[in-house]
Amino acid sequence: MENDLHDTNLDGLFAAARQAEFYDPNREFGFEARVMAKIIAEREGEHPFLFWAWRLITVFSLLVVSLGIWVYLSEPGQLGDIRAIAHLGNEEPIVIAFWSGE
Amino acid sequence: MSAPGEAPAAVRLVKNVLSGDDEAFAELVRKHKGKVFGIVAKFVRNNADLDDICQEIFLKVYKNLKYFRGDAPLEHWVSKIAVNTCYDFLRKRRKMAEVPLEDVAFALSNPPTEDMSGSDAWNFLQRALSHLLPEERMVITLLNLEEKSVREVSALTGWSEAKVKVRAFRARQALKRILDDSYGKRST
Repeated sequence: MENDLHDTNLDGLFAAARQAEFYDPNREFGFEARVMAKIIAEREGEHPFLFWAWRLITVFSLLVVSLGIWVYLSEPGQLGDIRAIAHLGNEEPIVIAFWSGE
Repeated sequence: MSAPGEAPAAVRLVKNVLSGDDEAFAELVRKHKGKVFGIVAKFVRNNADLDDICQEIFLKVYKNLKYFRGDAPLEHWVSKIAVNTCYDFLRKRRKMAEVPLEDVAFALSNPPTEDMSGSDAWNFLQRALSHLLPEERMVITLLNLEEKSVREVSALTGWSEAKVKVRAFRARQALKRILDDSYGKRST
């Protein structure tokens, strides 16, 4: 094994190969942009519902707030109804008064 | 995630990525792409594969960054992912298509000489390495081209040091046979 580990031809070949330019450094140009594009594409592909839900979150919030305002403003009789409900406890004396003619 | 060996800037960068900062991840890619390209280039033969595998590696880094414990420098962790991805590539490639025999025969008919250029030596070696098993090729590339120690190869691949040594021995034996054959052909 010792002889094998120090084979001159083989070691010479490795030493020569290490001097080689293994790749063109220009390949690295714009690499991070390609990676980010792939990550974003994958993220959108994995969770399209979540992605759109996140994008539309401001629209949904505005919709909920405006609906709340519209409901509040378009029901002026609401306070009267509440008063009527508060008077429900008087129903029985009114019925007795009606039938007894008082 | 507070490794004694890890620089605070790297820790901060990882935290920023984990909090959803895409620009921080782009910065991480910029910092480590040279190392990753350097590793992958020793396992692939064309630029398209090189780019695809490097992208796959950084995609894995992005997806698994939450598991980075910080007990080793980030560069080691990224290198480990790179090496494992290259190993998967070699195994897939071996299943898909063997190197055509005529291709190898052509390379071996032009055996390496002492004064051959780096790129010629690399071309010859690539063709010879394509005859080895993926694990043998992995070990010999990391030991002899990346110039890693047995311990480092063991840490990168997850194989025991004994296994790395055995695989290196077998790989060198196989390469020696190829070399001897090619020198034999030249002398005849």
